[in-house]
Amino acid sequence: MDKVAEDQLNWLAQNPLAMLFNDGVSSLSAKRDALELPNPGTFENVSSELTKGVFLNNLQFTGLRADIAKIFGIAPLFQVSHSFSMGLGGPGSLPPYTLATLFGTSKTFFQANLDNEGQLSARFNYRWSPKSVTRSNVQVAPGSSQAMLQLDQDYIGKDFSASIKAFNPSILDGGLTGIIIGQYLQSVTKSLSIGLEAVWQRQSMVATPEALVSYVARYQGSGWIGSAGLQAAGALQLTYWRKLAERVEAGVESVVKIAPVGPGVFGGEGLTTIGAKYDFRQSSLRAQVDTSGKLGVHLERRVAPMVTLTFSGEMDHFKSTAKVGLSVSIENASEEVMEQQQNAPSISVPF
Amino acid sequence: MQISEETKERITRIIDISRVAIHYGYLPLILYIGYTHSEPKPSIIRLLTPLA
Repeated sequence: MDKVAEDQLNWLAQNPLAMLFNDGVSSLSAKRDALELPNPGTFENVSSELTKGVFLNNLQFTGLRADIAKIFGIAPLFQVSHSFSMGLGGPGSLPPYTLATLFGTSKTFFQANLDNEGQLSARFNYRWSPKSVTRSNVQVAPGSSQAMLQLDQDYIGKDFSASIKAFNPSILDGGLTGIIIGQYLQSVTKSLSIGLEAVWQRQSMVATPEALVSYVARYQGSGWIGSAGLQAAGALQLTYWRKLAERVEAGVESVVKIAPVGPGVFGGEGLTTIGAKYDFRQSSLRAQVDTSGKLGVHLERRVAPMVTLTFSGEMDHFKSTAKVGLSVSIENASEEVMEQQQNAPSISVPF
Repeated sequence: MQISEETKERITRIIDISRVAIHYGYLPLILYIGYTHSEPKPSIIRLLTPLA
């Protein structure tokens, strides 16, 4: 900048008010640093130790499945996998054939999944700095003009995490439409963190926009984690996770939905799930039971260094239905790649 | 905020073209990037077939 212009602007930074403000901000941030609060993790992962680590929400499948993954490189990560599956055709069954490719370096991550019906799910992530990652996800089906686009910007601060997401944002209808979600989670003490999520959505210009706010709190004790969430639709979620022994984890989740039935009358329904996970040397077993009468089991066993067998079963006692899934997955890597895996420094891919 | 019909049509066209490009081009692009950046280079037969 011009020397003269700089001199002219000096009074902006050097007047007593601005200096007072600057001092205030820097002493505040120094005090905040002195608290040494840890990063609380992300808003979505507030109860992930339980819902992702112990429960089998996303692991269950039906029918027969075979995955053949070929690993061509570790750093950069490059993998091509073929999945074949035979199911009953009901919900939760997988497409007969899926081709998946994956490529990742420490800054970028590419993934594409294409199934035999031509449906593509594409991901691209980019890490701008160790603190900031942008994620994008596109889903395209053949023959339809509808596509799903999701954009996601995460920021991992020293004692907080913030993210903003957008689903199918568009301004072509004469105004902003789509779904926009903002999430913020802040550490308050070394073990307690609280956060909130705001959702704004407008399906079309004809519809009125809607806004919803959810709150969440998480407490991390020694060997246990408790969390509570209040969702905008009136659902209260409580979770408790505990590490019982070195290889045993267990937890309970309780969801209570309260919705107005009539004027002044509230109806509620609840669901409580108890689950446990045992890790053995070559296998891991998860089991869970809930108050709707569902009993689920998931057993994963490594039968050879590159071969894993998985059994998944679910019984619904009240509806008397059952689902069974059996899968084999084979990892295939050449000797050079396996050598690389042992020697190369591991890279953290922005998944 | 109002967008003129012409601009709207142009944006819709761009979105349509990029959707088709992603649909048919993204998976081959990853295969190409992976093939060129991998050390040692995998053989093309192994890259494409589940067997072998």
